[in-house]
Amino acid sequence: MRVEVTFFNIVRYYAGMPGMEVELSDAITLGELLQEVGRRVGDKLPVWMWDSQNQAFHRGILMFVNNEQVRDLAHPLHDGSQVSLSVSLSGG
Amino acid sequence: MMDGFGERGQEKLKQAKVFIAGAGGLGSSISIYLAVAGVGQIRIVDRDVVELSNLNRQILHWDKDIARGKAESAGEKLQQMNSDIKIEVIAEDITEDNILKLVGDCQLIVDAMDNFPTRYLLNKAALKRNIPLFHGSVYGLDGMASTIIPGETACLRCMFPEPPPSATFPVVGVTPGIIGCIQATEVIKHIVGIGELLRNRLLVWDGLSTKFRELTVKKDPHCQDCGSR
Ligand SMILES: [Zn+2]
Repeated sequence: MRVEVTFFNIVRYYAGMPGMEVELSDAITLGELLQEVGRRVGDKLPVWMWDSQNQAFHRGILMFVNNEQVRDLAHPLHDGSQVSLSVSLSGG
Repeated sequence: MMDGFGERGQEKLKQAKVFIAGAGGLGSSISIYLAVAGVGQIRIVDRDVVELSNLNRQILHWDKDIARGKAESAGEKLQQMNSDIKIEVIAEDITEDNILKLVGDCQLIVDAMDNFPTRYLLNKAALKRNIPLFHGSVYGLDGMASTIIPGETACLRCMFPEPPPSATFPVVGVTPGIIGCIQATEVIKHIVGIGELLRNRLLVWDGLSTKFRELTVKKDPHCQDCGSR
């Protein structure tokens, strides 16, 4: 199956790309996808986004599946799922 | 011709009393459009002074205002734009202790802040007073906006459970102009009572690609700020 990942705002700036497509042999959860994303771009992300020691995104990362906010890392993904990652913005 | 606006809408704007937290980039565009729209009373709070580096985006403050208080500078310009409305300026820090007093009897809160600790205070005050909060935030060429109706929509903490680290942020001057105009649009629609607000909708502006996207946000039953409501 194939999942489309979009990086918004600061995530995009650090990752250096607007997103990526991830090809997977098996169905996975959102949490497992995020680990795969981290393996690919984690070294470009600041420590407050990606915790390289625990191979996990920090709690501040905002996750959306098919444009809906999701808080549960066990959320199942399907072929064609669209995942968006963002963070909150400070500036005013 | 525009249904629902007209003279009655203008009268509702005249009777309205709004609280704007911040007279920076977002606060500039929001307050200018609300003032010229004829919002009867605008209370604007900012304790900072104008710095040279603000002038690329904080269009209420001009070269001659450097080192002057932002609240005073904003009040002067807004009053000149519309002398029929009441502008109140307050040069104070917004804190847990004074926020409810600062909000007073304003019927809505506009979040034009530049930091998350104060944004969360505004969120709590809106929940406590049961009044709407109009959120906007920017970074670089990107921004977000959403309208929070207590008891009905996700609150700011539901949307953003954790703040980003506090650090200086790059902002291209037009970005708070775009997001501030969206916030002002939401405020005017809410006061007049027309259209659909950004309820449970996080509008994401991607200035690098020139795209708006819309994300659905949800009330978090475990939210530390609104969970029991
Ligand atoms: Zn909440």
